[in-house]
Amino acid sequence: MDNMDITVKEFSCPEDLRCTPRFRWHPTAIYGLVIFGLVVIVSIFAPLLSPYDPTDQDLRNRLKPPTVEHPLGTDNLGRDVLARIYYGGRQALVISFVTIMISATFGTVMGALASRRAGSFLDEILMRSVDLFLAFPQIIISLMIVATLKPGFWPLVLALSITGWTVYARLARAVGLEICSQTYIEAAVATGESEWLIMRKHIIPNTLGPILAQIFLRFGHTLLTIAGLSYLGLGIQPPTPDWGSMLSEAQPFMVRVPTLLLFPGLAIFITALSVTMAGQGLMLMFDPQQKRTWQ
Amino acid sequence: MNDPNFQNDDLLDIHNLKTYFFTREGVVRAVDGVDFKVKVGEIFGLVGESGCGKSVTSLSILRLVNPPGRVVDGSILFQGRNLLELTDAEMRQVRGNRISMIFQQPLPSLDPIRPIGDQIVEALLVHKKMDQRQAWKHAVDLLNLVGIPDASRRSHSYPFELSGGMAQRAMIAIALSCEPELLIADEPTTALDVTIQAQILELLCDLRSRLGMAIILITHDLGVVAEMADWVSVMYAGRVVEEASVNSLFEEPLHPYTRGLIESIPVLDQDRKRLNAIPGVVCDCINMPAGCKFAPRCKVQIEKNMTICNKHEPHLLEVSPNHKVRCWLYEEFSH
Repeated sequence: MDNMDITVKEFSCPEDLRCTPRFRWHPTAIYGLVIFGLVVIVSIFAPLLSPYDPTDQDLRNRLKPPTVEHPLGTDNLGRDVLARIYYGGRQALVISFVTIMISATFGTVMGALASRRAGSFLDEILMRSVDLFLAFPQIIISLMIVATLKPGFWPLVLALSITGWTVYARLARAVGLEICSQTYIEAAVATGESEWLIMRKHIIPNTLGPILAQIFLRFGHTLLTIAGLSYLGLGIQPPTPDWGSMLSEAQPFMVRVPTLLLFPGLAIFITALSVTMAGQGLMLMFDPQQKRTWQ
Repeated sequence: MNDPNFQNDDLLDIHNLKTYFFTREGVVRAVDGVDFKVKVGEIFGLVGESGCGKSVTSLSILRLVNPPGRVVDGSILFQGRNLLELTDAEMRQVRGNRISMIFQQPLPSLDPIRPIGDQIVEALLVHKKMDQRQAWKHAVDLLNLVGIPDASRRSHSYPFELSGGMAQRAMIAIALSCEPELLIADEPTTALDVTIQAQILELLCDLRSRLGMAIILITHDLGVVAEMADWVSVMYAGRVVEEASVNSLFEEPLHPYTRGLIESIPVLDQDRKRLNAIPGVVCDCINMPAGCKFAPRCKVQIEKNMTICNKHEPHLLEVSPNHKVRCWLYEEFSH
């Protein structure tokens, strides 16, 4: 059988014809996630990174420009700016995270509910209340709530969630409407599944893609809102260091020591930007139709 | 068998079913007084062209008609119980458990983001007391039953990884999961190519004899009906125009519409330039003609110049024990 010796070459598929698409990271997502990761790590390990306590005052060394001991200088009470930058994201990041979780969950459930009952009384009530919230500037509603409840962790979360859920509700309803018209929802009804099961197992999981993208985009936005509230004195209260309140404290000295404004501003900017970048990148990565435009 | 009086072998008895759609333009009488019976273990063919109300009939059985549509009259006795009088919770116990349904398009009928095994498990857990592992094992068995090769591995596949035929098999597996007494197959093969069609139909036939369930086969393909069905109803404009055993219907089609349908099947060994078609289109659903709904397109009516057709609607007349027709041509049988 020597003449029958046919060697079968191992078939190698060209790169672009592979059956399972290879998972590739979008560069924007990588940059975003890495930078945001750094911010989170710095915030967590702030006590190890900084030799100074962010609340220790040294009135003899007030408003000093950057030196070797204080790489970013000191503020109007002689506190080390670098230490305050390290610590300043802790509260805001946690509040943003909790807020996003609450408002995304609530908004998605409400939106999904409205989409399944589109055109009903329930749908009208839900969506008109969303319109009502969207008719006011968000910051005004947040201000009202925080001002009435005294500033603090939970009042902030509440204020931001109340204004935040509407975005998810609208998005979930829009996506849900399309899903509800699909045959697999009808098939699920024909299988005898209850409305609750259909919602939990079919509608909500299928809306998660766009919702997740929205979560990333909103994270940066929420961070900025917290900074804004802190700037107005209604966010995180002194002496707890916070980027937003650092900005407002630096305001009277902004001509004398402009770095006091610059660094917390940069911290907010970089964090918000990194989360938004991560969101954009992930959205592109998981959208099969967008994939071709960058791969 | 919840009703003690239920003794005959009629599994499903639809009487005078009327499903109307209340649209802005007017009332669409999609199903207007349909009667038929499906016996235990029988394949019942429901034939008609697009828009004649066959799908709405099937949706009405499972009470899946969405607003603005509504079942306005009639009764649907399933094992002696009127489905139209059940509460929503009781109806959920029937759907998927006693009566299940497979749809025309297999792929859109499967949830795109969940593996097919998971979807069968879900259908099982809705109706049966089982734990997750038992259910998963059962799901794999079902996939085997419907002829999916390498079922244990395939159960982890997502719908987009399946071909149309595979997806339809998976759909059938979901429908069969709770061993229903009645399977409604709404054009199960329309979206599939011809060879796969034959396989799916064979599978349905095979499952019928193995599991002893009845099937309502909705189709516009008379060839499929001739091959599979035991009993056939031909629908036109929301009404049954002819009902007969499959042999009787194909040997001696009575209604001009049925004849037209059978004549319009292309025949391979005849040299013809054009297909025989029934002239015209299905009548306007809102402004139905007063008499026989088929009269404006009916060749016989025009040839014989029968005036009664345009004035009064004929009743469903029993021509022979297993043949009924709704046509003025057979008026002599009304006594």
